[in-house]
Amino acid sequence: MQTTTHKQHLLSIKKVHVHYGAVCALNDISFEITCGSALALIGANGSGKSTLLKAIIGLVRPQRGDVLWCGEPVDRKRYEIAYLPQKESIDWDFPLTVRGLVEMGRYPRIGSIKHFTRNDEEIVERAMADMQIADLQNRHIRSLSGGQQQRVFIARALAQEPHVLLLDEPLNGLDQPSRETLTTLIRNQVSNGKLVIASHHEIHDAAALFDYVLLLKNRSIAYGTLDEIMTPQNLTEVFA
Amino acid sequence: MEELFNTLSYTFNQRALLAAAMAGFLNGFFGAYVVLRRKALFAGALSHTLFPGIALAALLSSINPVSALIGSVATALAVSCGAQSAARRTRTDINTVLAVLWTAAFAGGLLVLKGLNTYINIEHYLFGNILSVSNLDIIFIFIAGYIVCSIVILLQRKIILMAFSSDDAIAQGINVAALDYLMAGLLVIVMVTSLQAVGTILTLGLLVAPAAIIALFVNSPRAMFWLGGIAGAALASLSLFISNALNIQTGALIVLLLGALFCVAASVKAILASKDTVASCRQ
Repeated sequence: MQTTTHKQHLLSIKKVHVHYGAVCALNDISFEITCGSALALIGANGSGKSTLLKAIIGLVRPQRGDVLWCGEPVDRKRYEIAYLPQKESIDWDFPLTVRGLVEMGRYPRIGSIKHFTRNDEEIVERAMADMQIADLQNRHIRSLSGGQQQRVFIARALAQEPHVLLLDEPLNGLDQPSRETLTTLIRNQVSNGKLVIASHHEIHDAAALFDYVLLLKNRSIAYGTLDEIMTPQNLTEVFA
Repeated sequence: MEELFNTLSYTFNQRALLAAAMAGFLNGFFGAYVVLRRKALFAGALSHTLFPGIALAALLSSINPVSALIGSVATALAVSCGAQSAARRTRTDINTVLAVLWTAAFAGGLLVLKGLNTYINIEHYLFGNILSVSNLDIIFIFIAGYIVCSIVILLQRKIILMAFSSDDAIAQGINVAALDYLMAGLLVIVMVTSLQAVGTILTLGLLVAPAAIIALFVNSPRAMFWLGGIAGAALASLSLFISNALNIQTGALIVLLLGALFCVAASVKAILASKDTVASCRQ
């Protein structure tokens, strides 16, 4: 599972259990993955995909198990992991321009007091250029299309200069051209050495974006390349 | 006009102008957080707990800015913690519990103040009386304003991030629960500074309206803080001059002017938005 060029950047999920009251959302999830690859979390609604992403970034505290980044708890280098929430959880009426939102990605790096330097400005501009949204920078975030909104949030994540991108349903609700554009842009980030982990609904188009797949049904059903896990037994167990 | 400025030769008017400008700025500045975090209803409930806090201060000692602050913090904490606890244990909506508790606390405060033998003009605390502001009040507003503004400026990025999305803030390592409690504490302090100007009933208007007006026209949370402060200070000062000239209550006029300005601004915004829609359809 490890690549040779980025193998020092290892994300380890070890026996993670998450319960919401009496409901078990994740049961004994374990896997390891390194930078330079893309992992899809695939499963039906309520299978624990979003919960696993939230457990990795610290939004949900596992009752048992560990999430380690480069051998240390995620809290120590949280700024190296960027999280994109589902579009439905965003306040699109917040008074914020595209540039203002992308600049938020620098906050974990520069802290509360330091001013934006020329270097910070350049990183923000590069992130917007990479996501092809530089011409939208003065627009309010509500005035964007669904695909543009996703690219703005990914640009914010890139401005954070993370090693890991956690994306919650990034292609959800997008039309086909927007999906293809976003898929290409995300693959470029993987080629640049980022680790991308995304929750995803549909298995049929996973091959275009992801190198590996974790099939979830509140526990790990299968983990590997798409070819390895695409067995009738696995699919029946996950989606039946 | 000359007559209006002549009123400034009186010391009590100078103090009132200073208090109006400082409390107006502080409320308008902090109001940006309340608007961005969508805490206006919470702030409204909290503002009504200032009154029983004053009653508590009067019951235990005498009323001054410090005792009013201590009493207000005590009652605000009791109501907000009690509401959260009751909501969690009984599965009742937090706003429902909050509404029941703050009205009960308000009624209790009214009965306590009415029952006290000392002479206290309740109307002053309900609707403000800025002309009676003392040097101690001025010093309190200045120190409170300095502390609150410094903390908000220092934590502005975290506050903006938390207001935009609590999940984003937590994902970036911010302790959202602690920051929320800190801001609730600062909110009580800010509202106490406006007691003399607008009173407990009207304080919500001075707090929320300036930032709400600015939010209609800017897409920058940072600008909302500063422009909200400037709008609050300007409107409060202007209201003092007008109320002196017309011999009407300053606190009520401040909130009335802010409300009128919000209605005008919202109408202008709606017209501009509809023109934009038509223009984009034609393209």
